[in-house]
Amino acid sequence: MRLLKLLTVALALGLFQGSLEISWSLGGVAPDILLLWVIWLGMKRQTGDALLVAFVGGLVLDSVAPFQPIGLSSLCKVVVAYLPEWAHYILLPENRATGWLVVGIGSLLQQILFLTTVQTLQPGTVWGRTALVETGLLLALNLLVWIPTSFFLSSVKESEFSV
Amino acid sequence: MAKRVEKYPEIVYRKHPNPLSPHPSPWVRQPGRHLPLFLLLVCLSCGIIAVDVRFGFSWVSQLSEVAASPVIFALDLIFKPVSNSASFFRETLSARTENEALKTQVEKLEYEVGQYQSAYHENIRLRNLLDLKAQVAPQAMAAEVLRYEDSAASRVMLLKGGVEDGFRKGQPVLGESGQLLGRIAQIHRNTSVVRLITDPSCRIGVTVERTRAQGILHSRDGRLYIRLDRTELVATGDRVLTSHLSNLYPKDLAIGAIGERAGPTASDPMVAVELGLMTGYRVEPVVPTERWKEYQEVLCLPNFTPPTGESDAAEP
Repeated sequence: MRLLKLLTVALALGLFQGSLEISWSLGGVAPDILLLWVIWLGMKRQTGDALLVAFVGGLVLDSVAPFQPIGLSSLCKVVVAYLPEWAHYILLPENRATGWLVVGIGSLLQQILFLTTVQTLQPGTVWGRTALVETGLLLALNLLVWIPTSFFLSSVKESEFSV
Repeated sequence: MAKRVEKYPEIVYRKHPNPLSPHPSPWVRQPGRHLPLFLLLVCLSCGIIAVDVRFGFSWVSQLSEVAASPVIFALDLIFKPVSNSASFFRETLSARTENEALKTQVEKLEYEVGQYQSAYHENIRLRNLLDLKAQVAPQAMAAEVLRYEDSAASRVMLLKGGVEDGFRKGQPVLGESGQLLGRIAQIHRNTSVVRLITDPSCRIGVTVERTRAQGILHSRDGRLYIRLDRTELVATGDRVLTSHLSNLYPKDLAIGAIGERAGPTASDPMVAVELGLMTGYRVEPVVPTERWKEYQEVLCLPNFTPPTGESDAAEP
């Protein structure tokens, strides 16, 4: 049942994110809500759930968003979904700044992976001024959404406790 | 502590973990617990990409398109007004910069239009001059006017072009419509000075075209007058040309037309006039003298060398 709920959320989020990327008309790229959700799950130590949401949501996103190979967003988001696991291992104790850092690095990592893969699969030059601007914009938008949201998310206290 | 145990029965409070602690938390001791799932999903994603690139999943895209269209429609409803408002603010903010840029552009365009108008007028002038040149003398030389001096003492025109350019002293100078302006009185290496027929010292032998009456053209205060024998019957509007008896100008160059009869103050104190033997008339130039200062190019007639030692004042 939990898995079904998780998959439904992933499908809905992927659909929403794909539609958002199509409808977004405020200039540049849209904030990546799916990615932020995945990171939030990771930060809550639900890395398994995060990986599944990233994979399924990414697939749906790819199928909705035009002109990109199906599976590309899944790949990028799965890699980012595992980032909090590494971050916990390498860095932390957690606090809110950890989340901000993970979102920043995750957004950059996703964009780099995405552009590199597209560059590999398709002819032409993807890297350039536009790619840099889009990356910067995505980073800024994701942080803009994440930072206020992080104050309302339930704190993750697990690191202060041990089993 | 008891309350915490009740709330989180499975965990026990402890101090903040030190990442470099030799006894990290159990969770930290298992950093790779989701690694198999991670690797599996990465491989799956790569596989799906490969299949999509090779064969394509068009049916998936079509299905998703159908599923996503209501969401896209709803999002469009939300974003369109926001986008319009954002555009409005963006446009308002950029209006000032755009305004400045447009002002600069307008100035630049005004300058260019001025240049074009100037070129257009110059073109017309040069065409007229060419027509005149073709009519009067094909070998006539055009010269650019550098300065126009209109003072009580002298009325002269400085031309760009001197001995080195082939100009010679005594060449008659014509303006628009064949109006006789004067003759080159001084010649320098690169410039020439034209004494205008309105110069106070200028006297020219002229003919009234209709009656062939001979007279003397002179100037006062920049206006042209003609002295004629009192027995000559001339009428207003009779054309006044250079005389065939003139040894300073070729014959039949247009000067103007007979105007009103000159009053006593306008007549010059010549004895013959004073005695009533001659009559004075105003001469209205073909081109009003007020417009002579607007000339930018004039035409110098060739092949007319006055006899040595002659001067305008000696005419006729």
